[in-house]
Order: sequence, then structure tokens, then C-alpha cells
Amino acid sequence: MITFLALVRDRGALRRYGVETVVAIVLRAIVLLLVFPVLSALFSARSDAVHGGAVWLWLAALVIALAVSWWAEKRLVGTGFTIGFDLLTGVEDRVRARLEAMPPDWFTATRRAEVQQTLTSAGQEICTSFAYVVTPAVSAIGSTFVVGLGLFWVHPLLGAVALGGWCLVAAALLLGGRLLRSADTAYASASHDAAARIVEFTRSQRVLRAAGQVDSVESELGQALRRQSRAAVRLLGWTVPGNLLFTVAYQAMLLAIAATTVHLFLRGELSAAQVVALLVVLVRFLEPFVVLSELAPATELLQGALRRLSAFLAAQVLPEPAASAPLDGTAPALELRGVRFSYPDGPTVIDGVDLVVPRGSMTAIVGPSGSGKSTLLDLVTRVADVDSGTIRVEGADVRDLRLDDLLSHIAIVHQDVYLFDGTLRENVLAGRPDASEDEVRAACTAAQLDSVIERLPQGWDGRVGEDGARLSGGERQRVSIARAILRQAPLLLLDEATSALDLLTERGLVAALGQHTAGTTVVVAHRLSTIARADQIAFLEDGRIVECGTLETLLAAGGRFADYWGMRERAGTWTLV
Amino acid sequence: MSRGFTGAMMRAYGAGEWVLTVVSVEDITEHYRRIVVHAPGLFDGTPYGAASYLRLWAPDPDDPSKEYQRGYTIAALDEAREQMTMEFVLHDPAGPASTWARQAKPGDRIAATRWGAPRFIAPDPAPAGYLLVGDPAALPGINGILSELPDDVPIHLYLEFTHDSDRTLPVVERVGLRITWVRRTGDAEELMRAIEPRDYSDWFAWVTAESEATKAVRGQLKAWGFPRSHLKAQGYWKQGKEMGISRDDAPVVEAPKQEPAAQPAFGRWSAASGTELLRPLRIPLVMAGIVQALVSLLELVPFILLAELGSRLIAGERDPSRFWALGLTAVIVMGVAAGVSVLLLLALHLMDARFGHEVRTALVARIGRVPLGWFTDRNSATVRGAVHDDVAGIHHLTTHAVIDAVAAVVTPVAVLLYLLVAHPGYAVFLLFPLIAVYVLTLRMFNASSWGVEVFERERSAVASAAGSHVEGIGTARIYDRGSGGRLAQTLARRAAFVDSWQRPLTGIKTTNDLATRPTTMLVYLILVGSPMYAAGWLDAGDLILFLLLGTTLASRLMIVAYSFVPVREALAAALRVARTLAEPVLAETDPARSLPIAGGDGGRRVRFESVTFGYAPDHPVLHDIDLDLSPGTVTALVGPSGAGKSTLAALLARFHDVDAGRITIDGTDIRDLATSDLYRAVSFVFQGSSLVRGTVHDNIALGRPETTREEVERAARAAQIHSRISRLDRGYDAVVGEDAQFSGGEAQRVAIARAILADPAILVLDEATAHADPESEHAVQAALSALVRGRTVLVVSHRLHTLTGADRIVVLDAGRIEQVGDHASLSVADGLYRELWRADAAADAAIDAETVGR
Repeated sequence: MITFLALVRDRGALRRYGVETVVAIVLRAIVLLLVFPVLSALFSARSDAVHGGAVWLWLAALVIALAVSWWAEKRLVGTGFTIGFDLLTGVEDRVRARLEAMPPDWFTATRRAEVQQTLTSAGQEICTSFAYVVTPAVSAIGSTFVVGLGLFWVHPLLGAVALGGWCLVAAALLLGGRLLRSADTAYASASHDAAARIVEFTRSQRVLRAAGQVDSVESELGQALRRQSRAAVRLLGWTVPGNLLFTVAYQAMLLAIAATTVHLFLRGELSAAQVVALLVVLVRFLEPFVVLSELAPATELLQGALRRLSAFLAAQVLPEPAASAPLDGTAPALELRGVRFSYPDGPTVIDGVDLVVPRGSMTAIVGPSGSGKSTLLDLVTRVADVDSGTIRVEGADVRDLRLDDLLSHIAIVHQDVYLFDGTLRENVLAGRPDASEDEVRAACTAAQLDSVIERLPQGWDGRVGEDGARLSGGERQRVSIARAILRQAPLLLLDEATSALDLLTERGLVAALGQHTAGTTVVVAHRLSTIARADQIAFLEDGRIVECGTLETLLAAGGRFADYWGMRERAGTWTLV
Repeated sequence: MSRGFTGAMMRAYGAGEWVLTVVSVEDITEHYRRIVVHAPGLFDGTPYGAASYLRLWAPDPDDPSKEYQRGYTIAALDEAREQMTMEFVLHDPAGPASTWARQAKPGDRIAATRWGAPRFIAPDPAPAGYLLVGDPAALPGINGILSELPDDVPIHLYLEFTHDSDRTLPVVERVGLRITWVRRTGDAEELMRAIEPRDYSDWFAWVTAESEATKAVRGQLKAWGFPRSHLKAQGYWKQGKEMGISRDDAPVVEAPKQEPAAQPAFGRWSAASGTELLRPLRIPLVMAGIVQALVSLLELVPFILLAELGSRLIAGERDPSRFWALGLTAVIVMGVAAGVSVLLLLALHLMDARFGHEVRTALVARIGRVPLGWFTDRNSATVRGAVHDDVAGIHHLTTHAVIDAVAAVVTPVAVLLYLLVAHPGYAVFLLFPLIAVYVLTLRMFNASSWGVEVFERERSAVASAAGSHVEGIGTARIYDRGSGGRLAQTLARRAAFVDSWQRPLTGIKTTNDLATRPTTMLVYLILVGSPMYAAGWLDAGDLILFLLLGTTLASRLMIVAYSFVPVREALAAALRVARTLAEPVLAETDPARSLPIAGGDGGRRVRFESVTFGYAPDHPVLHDIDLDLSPGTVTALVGPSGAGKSTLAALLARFHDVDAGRITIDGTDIRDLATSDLYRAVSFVFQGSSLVRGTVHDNIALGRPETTREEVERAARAAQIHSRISRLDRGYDAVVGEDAQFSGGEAQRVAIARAILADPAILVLDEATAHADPESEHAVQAALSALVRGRTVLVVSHRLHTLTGADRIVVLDAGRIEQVGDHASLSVADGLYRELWRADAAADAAIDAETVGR
């Protein structure tokens, strides 16, 4: 938590919070301690008339102290919320800015889920916990400790027993919590395994049934479930003590304190009235721990949020220069020299690629899957960085450009189009948020979206559904192409951008892209019609460009590309029988 | 202005109050008046919806110094002009609100209270139908609901009318809405008798008529089996009691005097299945609750002993042995309580482990038996939720939630009773803070409830924006950057809302916390008790007892309400599990029949006989299909998307069972076949993933685990995938998804190898080349050509040119067979096939033109 306080931007509020915490804790302790003189005066009142007046004086002091302590605590919670809210926005800003600078490869499925959860709830959990968990917890523990110190003033032995008890109950709370957490974690992981097997079983139903294997897998699964059930029973060794430790320690402390006061009474060091007054105070003394034990689940949530957050903030980001290198207007649009790349602990994906893409030209990258075509585009957009060699955009190494500058220079259409859950218009507008209404419409028309807009119930402002689920694959690609057209970026990258389109639509779109993007295009494609349009074709195999030239020269050469071309043509004319 | 106790309480709860100014008055009929009011303060971000209402303070016609509260539905909202529309039935005799409305004219003002954000929320999952019952007074609410209901759901609306003109009142028009008007006769049961007895399985009922009529209808629907979750009944007005109070203040939801005699249930509600699932736990949990109640009582004993100790001390007791006896008793009581707790926890955990195991086993058994068509993405997610979270939810219910709730309730109640018996005079003073707690809690509820829904909306907006940002990080890092981006703006909007909603709440929450804190109660009890003690009305023992036990009463009561939240959540989890367990399974005939030996050529005949099928009742996807697949022939299914091609193919694989007609293999209905026999005879290759966890060898030999490596290799070779597998480090022993990563086309060829090895007489291919990656497309095609030889084949494809050689082409449109023939005859005949073929040929021509043009 302490490290996260560093994220608080309002330092004044933080200082105020510190002072207010101390004040509130002391006042809260004073209120409870004042009960002692009130009650001891009250209980001796009937036997000793002298104390009669004292009772009402002490009582007045008690009520005033209570009122002041309320005022202090209300202020404290208010300040706590201010800090919490500051943390909320601070954390969210940090996480979002960081997302932009991360290499996309970092986002494995698990991490995606974690980052999503962090963005969805971490900031808000931290914010509300600051007001409703951290503040009451600190106030509860602190005031109890101060009361313990105050008891020394009544009697040293009492103070010692009280503070000892404070430690014991705190330890029981921590230990019990830990035992329960371990048991919960073990239980969760055991049931998680069982659950994963069931989900797997569900997912494979079609295949399993077609193979007539449901029963045998089911019986195997049944055994796994029995193992899990036995494991859950074994966890009882942790659960039972975890649940009872706190209660037992708490009750033991009550006994110990009662015994101590009675002991002091029998030795004549405390009067009967004092003992009774002390019993009332001491029973309340440890009570804040009950509050703490009730806050435990919320603390868990907070800790989980903080853990995820720090893991994310600790992750490596792509190195960026302080300022971008200048672009050279005469250099080729894109130039790859001796580019090598392999994934960590993986085989070499790109194995020495040289390629020059002249300005205003269209280059097609062709090759079998796994040959590294998409990786090559990823290296240009710095999804990952090259191991050796250089990639230059208009003469500047991509690593010498600010990520913002590099990415605003590029428009890209992926094969797996990702649409945001918003309206169609918003999705297109993402290409260039400051574009005018007319420009957006023109881009949509060019991308042949007009018929789609007509079909959606609210047209233009119709929601596309999460991940564009309301649109077909081809329609989603068209939205993504409209977005790229609107961007008017000098460099257009198409990664199998038209794979889901029928041939007629595709032909129209490729032409539209040519008209509306005056810049340079690099396209990864399988469609013969797309390949045939390119000024230059690079045939990639096993991470190397094995052939490069125009369609005519490559076909005439009769090499790997010509084989590929022939195979694709045959696939187009195949019949089942 | 006097508003009596109701008004005072509303104010205490923190209900806001606004003044509405009449803008216009319009008579829809002579007995029904529409009034538009200007209400600027009410547009403060509170979400309104169907059946949202305000409480109007209408003056008593006879005594204008008195005001009565009446609930009125907000019929329409105009946010831009900050106006609301309300509709009034002009009753005769008229109550205060009706009288006010009768005389209302533009410029009139009336006070309104809003408390919380009441509105109609459709139950989840969506009911099978809606039964709405009401009268003109309920019409604004019913119209609101009608306009929020989804399409294609049956809605039966019963409306009582008094005047003939009532029948002209505007009702929102809906597809599937059936309106029945019932004349109001004064017999409270008239409306009830009008409601058609029918199968209301999983329907939702909303009953808002006159109070007595509502009671009668409610009793009837309950008797028909409507569960509480699916029956909302509320009397909107009361005949002959125009001065009485309406809506919440007069809860009319008691059982009618004479419960209708037990009747057969008119349907089944899956909402009731959660309790059904938990039935075996009921008695053990009740017993656990009783034991926990005893433990909770025992845990109070030490405090009573402490009070006893105190009173003896004050009384002048000096004998140490007496003190030690008290201590010993305390130790024994604590020991017993702890021991019983241990045993209780052990017993509950053991019971839970057994029950959780039974639930998982039952889920697995069910998953293996439901129709394959059930496994949509959504349902798979339901299974994932059920096994991951919901079983854990039940775990929490059995091991903690119930006993925690019992402890939370028993302790304060026991303390209160004990103290009332010990000293009633002093105990009375405990009630004041308790009332304060009640009011404070409601106040907090009112202050926070309006935002819950907005917050949920903001939260899911952030979740969705964050999810899509991260899922599409490759796209988002380019198209959604900076503080002006989509994600940044969504986050900022939520933060602003959290601030405006929660900041004012911190004050109320802290006040609640401070007010209920034991120290506060202690000071209060000392303040009250000291004079009583000094005056001799209270002895030391009782005072000490109250100071020890009474102090925690308020804080304990505060958590009573919260302690039921986990129970409710767990019950909801149980309901979700139960729903999955209640899914209908494929019927199996017992004993199952086996297929006769195949004919001489090894081929088998498949017949679809008058097959009708739909995913939802009354919405058939296939109508009366007759189709005969001769042994050893290839039949192609073509047609526009949505024609039912894939559905028809899936029926042969028993993804679903037909609604009418039958499908036979060599004369035997496939529903009578043992599953193993059916799948030995029929194999299918679909688009999409078809690999299971395990080695490549196991995947190919899935249907025939005894197969040798040689046979597996032969099949792999025929499916053009052997060389790819050989290149893997561990070859056929590589594990799919770990050291064997296949592209779509490669996975498809593994599936084809599996089908080749299974050697079925009948083969179903559904878009089998659709997911092939380009360079392996040719290989997949070659593999398919090898597979289809000599089998009875049913093939679905949208690439018509791949099907020209089929023995028979069946053209489907909108679930009916349009044309049957071979390519040569169909392509020249007028009809759908020729259109489809021309479109396909145009695409082919395009590719040729491009290629040749260069």
C-alpha cells in the first residue's frame, strides 16, 4: 500500500490525512478511557457521596470527547476519500498510458484478463477501500493500541496484560486469516482443476460423441472429481483452526483480563468500583479487532487488486527515445536491412530479410503460413523489436521514433478485425478522431459500407455489438478498411485484410484503397487477384525472401512463387467428386 | 401541512421532495386524464424505466391542511424539456389524487416524493412469456413494460374496464400481444376467472389491478404454480376506500381468505429448480442452524458471567474461591462452544464435499447427454460459470453463509430478549437507538440506490472498453491512444460518476458507522443508566449487564441485513447450476436397437421422412423435409444462408432431435439406435476446431482406441497430413496444443484422417474446407476426395463450383426443398439454383479476369 501512496498527486491531502489519522485515533482512545473514571465514580457514588459530583463532570467530559472524536473521524474519512479518488484517477491514468507503451506480445490470455480486471475494478477498489477499509482499519488498530498504553496509567500490570493481549489477538487474527487463505487457495485450485476438466469435456462433446467416447472420458473424469473431493476434505485441517483461532484467542483474552483485575482487587490495589469500570472498558478494548476480522474479505480484494497492479506496472515497456528522429522525404517509404527476429526461446522467425518498398508503390508479401509474413508487419509497427538489422520508415529507424509518431504514420488492417463495442461511426472515426462528418461518410462509401449502414436498425449510429458480433466477417473487414482509409496515413499495411470478402467486393475494395490512400501499401495476401495488382511481389519462405519481382518475371522464372500460384489456381477449380 | 406519520418517516429516510408544475391537461377519455408536469429537479441522473413512479402529495378535498400520498407511474419523460407525463383515472367517488387531477389546470403545483429508483426489470433469464393483468389505473405502467419487452415473446394482457370508453385507451402495440378486456362488475373474482388456464411454464406475471381483484388473481396464479420470483402483484387502488392509502403503504400481498383448492400446476418454472437442487441439504442445514444458534447463545454466557462478577464485587464479595468458580464456569462454557463449533464445521465441510461432488458428477453426466446443438458459445460459458463459480457459491452456502446468517440474527435477538427480561424499564431505551439505526440504514439505501444502476452501467462500460482494448491491443495501440481516446474517456466518465455518487455517501456511511459503534452505545447507555442507577431504579448488576451486552446491539443489527447477501448469492448460484442440470437430454430407447448388417456394397441408405424442426417452439427452421440418400451417392445441400442447410445436416448427426417426422438409416429411426451404433455408421467433418486434448495419435484414433500406429499412419497419409506430423519433434506422440500447433487446414486434415480411420458408411461434410488456410486448401481438398469415395455423403457448401459432380443437388430455401436435380439440369432450369450459380460463376469470372488481365 505504501508504494501506492506515492501515486497520490495531492501531497497536501496526504499530509492532512496523516495528522487527522493520529488525532482521530487518540480521540477515539480517550473516549473509551474516559469511561473508566465515569463508571468508577458512578459505582462508588452510593457508598461515597463525595464522588457524586464527579460522576456528572466526568460524564460531561465523556460526551464532549465523543462529539469531538466524531467530528475528527468524519473529517478523516472525507480526506481518505479524497486520497482514494486521487488514487483512482492516478492509477487509471498510469495503467492506460502504460498499455500504449507495452509490446502487444506481453498480453497473453491470462494477462489480458488481469489487465481488464485491473482497469475495470482496481482503481475503484483502491478508491473505496481507502475510505471504507484502510481508514477504519488503521483507526481501529491504532486506537486499541493507544487504549492499551492508557491502561498503564491505571495500573502497570493491567497495561502489560492488555498490550500482551493486543499482540496475541492480532497474531491470532493474522494467523487465522493466513490459514483460511491457504485453505481457500488450495480449495480453489483443486476445484479449478476439476472445473477445467469439465469445461474441456464440454468443449470436446462434438468430437467425443462422434467418436463414441463420451462414457470412457466421463468415467475418467469421474475419478478426477473424486480425487478433488477427497482433496477438499483434507483441507479441513486448515479450515477449522483458521475459523476458530480468533474467537478462542479473543475469549482467552477476556478471561485473562478479568482474572488480572480480580487479582489486583484481591491484593487491594483496585477498588471494587474500579474493577467493574475496568471490566466494561476492557471488554470494549479488543472489540476493534472484530471489525478488522470483518474487513478481512475486503482487504483480500484490495490486496489482489494491488498485486495485479504492481505486476502490471513492473512489466517491461518498449524503449522509446525522448524525441523522434527526423523523417527524410527522399528515403524509401519502408526499408528492411538484414532483419532477424525470433521469439524468446523460440525458433528463428525472420532470418535475414532485405526489402525496399518505394514510395507510392504496392508490395505484396506472399508465402505459406508460418513463413513469417505477419511477423514482418509486426516488426514495422513495433509489436516486437528486431534482434538484428534495421527497419527504417522514411529513413528513420523505427526505434528512433516516438511510438506515438511511428503509429500515427501508419494505418493497418488486420485479418482478425477488432471492432470496439460502440457504434459503427465511432469505429470508423477511431481512424482519425478529428475527421469531419463528410470525411467519415466518404470513407464508409469507399469501403462499400453503405449497404451495411442501411441494414443496421439505427444505421450509422447502430451499435456493432461487442467485438463486432452483429456484423459478418466481411462487413467487419470493411469497417476496418474504412477506418484505415479515413486515417490518411502515409504507410498502409494490410494483413490478409480482405480474406473474408467475396471476390466481387474484394475487387472493388482493393481499387478503393488504391484511390483513397495515396501513400505506400504493403499487403500480405493469398488472393491471386490482390497479388496480381502489386508492383512488387516478395515470396517469403522460412523467414527469408526467396524470390522478389513483378508477377510476370516471377511466373516466367517458374520458381517457388510460380508453384504456389499454380497450386492456388488448382484449388480454385477443385470439385468434390 | 400535515402528512401524518408516513410523511415524517419519508423525510427521515431521506426521500427527496420536489414540486411539480402542471404544464398541460388532456382528457384521453372522459374518465382518463393525461397531465404533463414540469419537474426540473427530478432529472438528476436517476434512472427511470417502465413502471417507475413518484409519490404525489394530494390534498384532502375536505380538509386542505391534510395531504395524502399516492403513487403514480411516470408514463412518459421528456428530458430535454424536463417534463413528465402522468395519467389519472378519474374515479367516482374520487380519492384525493383523483380529485386533484379532476381540477388540475396549467400552473397548478403539487409536491412529489421519490424514494430510491423503483422500476420494472425483466427477469433474467428471459421468461417464456408475460402475463400482464391490470386496469386503466395500471395502464401507464403496463404500457411502459410493453415497450421494453423483447420481440417474439407471447404477451397476454388482461385489462379490467368500467366504462366502455376505457376500451379506447391507448395500449402499446406489440407483435404477439393478446388483449382481453374484462368488464368490472364489482365481483373481485371476475378478473381472476377471465384468465385462461393454460401452460404458463417459465412465464412471468405482473398483476396491478384493484386491490381485491389483485389478491384474487395472485392467489389463482400462485395455485397454478407461479413461483414468487415470477409473480409480481400489487394492488394499485382500493375500491370504496378512496381515502385509504395506496401502493407500498398498504401491502395487499397477503393470501386471499380462501386459498383455492389444490389444483394441478399449470406449468413448470425453472426458477424453482434451485431450491429443488438444494433439497437434500435442507434438513442438515436447518439442524446446523439450530446448533449454531445454541453456540451463539453459549458465546453470550461469558458476558453474563462477567456481569455477575461485577455485581458481586459491588455487593462487597471478597471470597476468592467464588471468583475462581465463576472463571471456571466461563472456561467450561467457552470450551464447549468451541468444541461444538469444531464439530459443526467438520460436519458441514464433509457434507459439502459430498454434495459438491454429486453436483459435479451430475453436471458431467448431463453434459454427456444433452443434444449437441445445445453447446453454443453462450451455453458453454454457462457450464464454465457453473463449474467454476457456482459450485463454489454452493460451497460457501453450506459451509458458511447459513450459519453466519443464523449467528447474525440469533445473537442480537437473544441479547434484546434477555435484557428486556432482566430490566424492561432500562431495555426500553435500547429501542431508540435501534429505530435510529433503522432510519439511518434506509437513508443510506436511499442515498446510494439511485446510483447502483448507473454505476453498474458505467462499470460494464469500462469492462467492455477495457476488454475490447486489451483483446484488440494490436488494433487499439494504433487507433486508441492518448487521453482523448475511447478508453481514457470511458475511464474518466466513470471516475467522475464515482466521485459524484460516493463522496456525499461517505458522510452518511461514517455517521452510520459512528452511531452504531459499541463505544457510542456505551456512552448512550451510561448517560441513560447513570441517573437511573443514582436514583436507585437500577441495581449495579443490571447496569453492568447492559453495559456489557447492550453495547453491541446496534452494530450487530447493522450486519443482519448484510448477512443474508451471501445466502441470496449462493441461492442464485444454485439456481444456475440447477438450470444446467434441468436441460433436456436426448432420449434414448431402451433397449437400443442395433443396425442391421450393411448391404453388399457396404453403403447405407438414409431417409428424411417429413422432417420438421425448429430451435424454438412454433418457429420451425425446416418444414416437412423428405429426402432419400441412396447408398454410395453424394447429395449436396445448397441454398442462401439461413436456408437451414447446416441444421438439416446436423439432424443426421443427432445434434438435435426432430420435432416431427423421422430420420432413418437402413430403415431404423436414428433415435432408436444406440449412440455408439449411430456414430459408427455416421462420421462428420465440420468447419472449425475438432481436436481434443491428447496426442496426435489419440486424436486420429479417437473413435477406435485399439488402432495400431500403422493404421493411424495410413489414414494420415490418405488425409495428406502424415508428412506434417512426421516433422513434429515427437511425431504422432506430440500433444495437441502443446508441442503440436496445427493451422486450421492442418487440424481439418487430422479430422479427415480420423474419419478415414473410422471408415463410416455415411459421411456428413459441412463447409469442410471453409477454415483451410490457403496453401493447405489444396491438400484438404485432396484429402476430402479420398474420404468421400464409396460412401453415402451429405455435403453442405456455399462454393457451388466444388459440387458440380454431386449425384444430386438439393436446393433449400427458408427451410423447404425448392429444387432437386443434378448440376447439368438445374443450371439450365429457371430457379434459385441458377441464380446462385450465376452469382458464384460471377465470382469465378472475376478471378479469371484479374489473372488474365495482367
